[in-house]
Parts: sequence; C-alpha cells; structure tokens
Amino acid sequence: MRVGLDVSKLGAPDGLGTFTREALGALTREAGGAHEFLTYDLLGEGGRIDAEQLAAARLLATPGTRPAQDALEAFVATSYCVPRLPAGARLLFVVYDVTFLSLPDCHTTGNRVHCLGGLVDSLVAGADLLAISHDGAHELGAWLGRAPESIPVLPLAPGPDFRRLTPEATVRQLAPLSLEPGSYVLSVGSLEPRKNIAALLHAHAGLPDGLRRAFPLVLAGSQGWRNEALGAELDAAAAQGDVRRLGRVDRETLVALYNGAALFAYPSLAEGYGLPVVEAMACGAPVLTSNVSALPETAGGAAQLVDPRSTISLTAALAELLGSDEKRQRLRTLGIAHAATRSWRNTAHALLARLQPQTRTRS
Amino acid sequence: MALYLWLGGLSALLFGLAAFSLWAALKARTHRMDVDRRLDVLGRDLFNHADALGRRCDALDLRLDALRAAIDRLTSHLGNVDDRARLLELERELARLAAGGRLEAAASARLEDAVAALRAEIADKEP
Repeated sequence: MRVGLDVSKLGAPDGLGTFTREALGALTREAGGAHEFLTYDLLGEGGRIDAEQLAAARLLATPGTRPAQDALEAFVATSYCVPRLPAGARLLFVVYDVTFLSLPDCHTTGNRVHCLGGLVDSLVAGADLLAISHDGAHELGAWLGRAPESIPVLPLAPGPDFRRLTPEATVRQLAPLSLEPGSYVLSVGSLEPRKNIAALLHAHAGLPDGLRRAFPLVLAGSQGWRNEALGAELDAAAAQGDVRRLGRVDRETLVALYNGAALFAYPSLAEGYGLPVVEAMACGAPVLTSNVSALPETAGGAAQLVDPRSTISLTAALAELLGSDEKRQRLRTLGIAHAATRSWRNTAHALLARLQPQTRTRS
Repeated sequence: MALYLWLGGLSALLFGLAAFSLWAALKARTHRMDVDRRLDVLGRDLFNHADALGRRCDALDLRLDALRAAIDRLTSHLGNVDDRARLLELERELARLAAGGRLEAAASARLEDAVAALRAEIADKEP
C-alpha cells in the first residue's frame, strides 16, 4: 500500500514533533517493506523536508510531490491538516487533544481556527479519527456525539534517548548549567497558559524557605504565548534566585535535566497525553502531575497526582515530596518500571493495524 | 687679507644657513597651514556627511518603524480576513454534515458555537 505521511511538525520542539519523529519513524521501520511511505509538509512552515532530514530522523520514506497526484491509498494526518487525496484513499486523522475547544483561552485565535478547521475537514472527508489516550477519545467522542470506544487509541511512549544516565554523566552534563543533581524541581513545557506554570510558581513560592532555597524551580521550554504577566513574575522570582529559566534546551540537555531532577512537576491543566511525564519517568525522575485530563492515565499509578487548580494542594504536594527521600525513591522506582512498558513500536503496530481495510471505523 | 677672506666666507655661510632655515621654517608653516586647512575642510565635509547620513538614518528608521507597523496591521487584518472566510466555510460544512446525518445535531450545534465564538473574537479585533 502506498501511504502518505504528514511530517509538517518533524523537528518541532513539542509533542507533535516527537510524535511525528517517533511514531511515524517507527511506523516506516516496523512495516517491514509492506508499505511504501511518501512524506508531505502540509503546513510548509519549515520549508521542504528533504530525504536527508528524513534519514536523520530514521524515517524510511521518500518526499512526495502532491498527495492528490501520488496515487496514495492511505494518508496519516498529524498536524490538523487534511490534504486533497485521490478518490478512495483512506485518511487517518490523529487528534492529539481538543483543548482548542475545551480550553479556548489557552490557545491563540489562529491556532483554534486551524485545529477546528482541520477537525471539521476530517469529518467532511470521512476520516478515521485516532486519539492518543482513552481520555482523549472520551473527550473527542463527547464533542462529536460518538461512543469513545469507536475512536481507536494510539499508545505513546518515551523516545529511546530518554534513559537513565550514570551519575558522573549527569554531573558532567549539568555542569555547564551550574546545576547539581538532586538540587532542583524541574518543569518542562512552553510558557503557555495550559501548562499552568503560574500555579507552579505560586506553589513553589509558598514552600518553607529552607525547601524553596534547597530546591529552586528550573523551567525548560520555549517562549510560548499569552504569558506576559507570567514573564514578569518569573523574572522577579529569578532575581531572588528561586527560579531558573533555561528556555528551549536540546534533547541531550533535557535528558540530563530529567536525570538530575529531585522532582519533575507537571501540573498541566489538560493534556492529550503528556509525553514529558513518561519521558521524565524513563530518566528516573519522580513525577508530580495533575489529576485531570489524560495525565492520570499517562502516569499509570506511578506519579503523585494533584489538583492543578489548587495552589494550596500543589504546595502541599511539593513539600511532601521534597521533604521525603523515601517517597521520591518510591515514585522513581514506579516510574522507571512504568516507562519501560511503553514503546513507539506499539504505536507503530497500532497504526499499521488501522491501515488494514477491515479496521475502518468511519461512522 | 686671508683673514678678511675667511671672515667673509664664514659670514656668507652663516647668511646662507640663516636664509635656508628661514626658508625651511616658512615652507613647513605653509605646509602645516595647508594640511590644517585641508584637514579642516575634510573634517567639515565628514561632519556634514555624517550629519546628513544620521538625519537620513533617523528618517529611514522612522519610516521603517511606520512601515513595520503598517505591515503588522495588514498581516493581522489579512489573517483575520482569512480566518473569517475559513470560519464561514466551516459553518457551511457543519450544516451540510448535520443535514446529511453525518454529524449529530447536538454535536453540530456544539461545534457551530465554537465557530461563532471565534467569529465574535475576530470581529472584536478588527480595527
């Protein structure tokens, strides 16, 4: 079967970028030559993605010309874009989340128009919708009036780079950042309202002086959007030495940061999956995350859960975990075991199964 | 006689030396004045050029800022126009899906509400 892949987000420093690289890469490798894969940059944001970039991302595919002209029999859409396809071609449309509908204030207007437009286009095209968590399938089903069971779920995983480092390697990698292992609380994500960094900042500020000074908050991630007030607060906290803003970091540094974190805090308001949770677990970081959306499912019982809208609860959870080596060690052990059960090969096989004609779920 | 000749020669030599020194001093002064004058002219030219250039840069900067602002306004406006056209198209598609029984009426209504909210937001942003 000739299959088109939307690789628009290949190289993007977010969950979509990771999904494109890992899930589609694994799909092309696990297909074992049964399918021919052609790639397309439907968003056209990063210029044309060439064969060299595909090889670097270990995607066994060749750049296509136009989806409508390349005699495709199926297409995997990953960036809320629906291409024009040859008649009879199947469209698998991956819906990461519907927060553009449920949490509109957390998105820019342009992004909401884009995502909503893609979703409606996928309905018009009669696409098979795929979710990345059971919670996501449930929420999408509620919006579209479909049974959640009718929406297949793709299991996600931490990438192979996310692994435990030796203590010496962690020390060496953190040295340029002037950080020492076990001496900070880490949070990862772009500075956007949905990531709830403001609540984390306030919760951290509410810690007893000793704990707050011993475990400053380290933030890694891109600039984001709708964060003007937060930026000023972070600057003030940084001036007092309570917060370090690293901005966007490369994957190697991120792995070291996870490895060296006393605690990984991810109090997001909503996630379609929440990849950083399993990435942190794979690196041996104890995880504190939200008890809402897909995050409890992603955490799989291996993280401490907390109400992300309650600063008091967040502060209490931070204090409880930072004050107890034993509790953090327990979470660390649980997290490593949980992350080890996840694999992008499983994602690839779930996608391959959806490409079989008998698995069509279109309503 | 020899003494007179010797004194006369010495006087001539001294006179010659004095004349040469005077000539050399006058020449150097003239040269210095010439160089000073030239430097002065050059300096004034440079100052005038720099001043003119500075004024041009100021004007250009202002014009660039104004141009940038105009481009931003235009981009935003065109973006809004694009988004508005896209939202109208989505409304029509949702109505068609509901009419064709491919989307529950309640689901269509929920999505149409989301479209309407976006349209209102964009209308608020219009200059």
